[in-house]
Amino acid sequence: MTDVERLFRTYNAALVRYLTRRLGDRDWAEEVAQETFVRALRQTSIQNERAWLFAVATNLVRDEARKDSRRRKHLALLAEQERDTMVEPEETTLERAQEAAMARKAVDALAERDRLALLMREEGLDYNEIAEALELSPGSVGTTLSRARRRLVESYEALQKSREEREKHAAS
Amino acid sequence: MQHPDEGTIHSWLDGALSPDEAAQVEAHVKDCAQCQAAVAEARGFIAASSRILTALDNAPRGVIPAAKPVKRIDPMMWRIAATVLVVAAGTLLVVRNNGTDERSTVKATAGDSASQVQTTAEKPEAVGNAATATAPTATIQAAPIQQNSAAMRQPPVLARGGQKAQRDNVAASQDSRTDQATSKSKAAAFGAIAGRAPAPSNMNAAGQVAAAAPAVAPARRLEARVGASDLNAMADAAGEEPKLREIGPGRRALGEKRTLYEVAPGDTVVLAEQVSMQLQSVVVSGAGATRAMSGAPAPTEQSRATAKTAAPAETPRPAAAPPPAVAPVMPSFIEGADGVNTLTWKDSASGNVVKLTGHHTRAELEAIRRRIDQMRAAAAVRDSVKKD
Repeated sequence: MTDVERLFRTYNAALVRYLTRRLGDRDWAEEVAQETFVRALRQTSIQNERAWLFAVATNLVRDEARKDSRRRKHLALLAEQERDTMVEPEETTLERAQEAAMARKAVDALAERDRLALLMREEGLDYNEIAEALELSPGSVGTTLSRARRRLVESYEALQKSREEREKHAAS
Repeated sequence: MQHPDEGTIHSWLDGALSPDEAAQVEAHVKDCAQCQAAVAEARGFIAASSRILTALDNAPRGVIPAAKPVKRIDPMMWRIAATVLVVAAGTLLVVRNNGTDERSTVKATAGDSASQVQTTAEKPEAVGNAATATAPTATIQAAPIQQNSAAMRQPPVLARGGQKAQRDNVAASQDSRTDQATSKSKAAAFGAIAGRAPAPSNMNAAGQVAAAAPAVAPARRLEARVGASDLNAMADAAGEEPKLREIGPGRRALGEKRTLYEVAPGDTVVLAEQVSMQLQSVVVSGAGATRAMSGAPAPTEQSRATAKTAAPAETPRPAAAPPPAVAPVMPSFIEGADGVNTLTWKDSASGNVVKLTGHHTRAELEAIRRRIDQMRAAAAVRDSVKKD
């Protein structure tokens, strides 16, 4: 590996954002990103840096997800976190929290491959890089992305709609 | 060209098509209302999904705990450590270890802690506070150990500071976050026990000081409970010296009572006391003396066993009771073979001729003798108080 520092400076922000969106936790995301760069250190040469980094990070997440105990702990702590955030009374914060929760739900509803392709694309990876990271054929990336975007927006809008209806119902 | 599919439209909008393909799509969309609508929709999806994903960026931190850094020791660990140490202390009580030099780890750490609390120990009210002790606990056995080892290094400090010093000691040790989980935390755990253990409530301040002083482990603690002021002085005196451990009677010979003392681990001396009495008296007084020295409340197996061979002996007396008529022997020193030397003197209390034998120089033997004298005097005082 030639220059890990340069790699880090160039890709860390995008990688952390990608992972945060993927995992829903900033600390976890940073942890995985760091591990990704550590792995990069061990590489003698990387063809496509960005594709490689996102692929490794994605695989790390996948491996991580297999660790059941970790996941359970995550869920337990998420629940705890939720209880803590309940206290916040501010309207704007609540509004934003609700949006984030709906976004989370909508993203989680996607198929894994669609979700990852979309998140990678959002970080600026081009079709070839996405194809390489996810081991797809470059020709199928457009289809994957269009499907992912449509489904994400549709399920988000559906969630929004049901929420509005709930509020309307509660108000009347 | 036929209508481009949705994937192609997204590819086009994402700039992922080759220049040729892009030109074709562009040309088609220009003239196709249906595809213009599809492109508009695709743009909407792209923008909307970007916006939705942005909402995820406010993800909470710390949902997943980072690899745990140095954590404070779980209270349960202290309990476990305390339990282990109680057991260890019990073992130590059996295999008494009063060495002056060899107790490297425990003594060193305890010494460190003792010096840590030196300032607080200097406060005069420390002794007073120490008297207001907690209820006796099961860990009481551990206390003398800590006291002993700490006091060896800094006898006056601990003696004066009493338990207050030890309590501070605990705090100090616990505050030092124990990454060095070895000796340091052991010392802390020691402190934890010693700090909690304490002080039967009937102790007065003087007794407390005596208890805190290094003294001869349990025997000294018994004296402390008696709480006589002269014991206080004795305890102070004893505080200057490392203790001896009586590790039991040696071989018993006719007209002679032998007691084995351990000066240091593996380093023993034999105290032979010539008693010109009837066999019965020897046995009985031997039993009484042994009991007095060890501080055990009930007659031991051994005393019962020896009593069996002798005539009925219902009322054990301390060795000091009947002073036999033996010609006074001045302190004398006999240099034996193999470095085994013998110091002989006349016991002032009993008038018995006493011989102290061991691999020691004369000066060492005399120091040991002084300490034995103190122990015996303390035992005698305690015994007489108990009788009253």
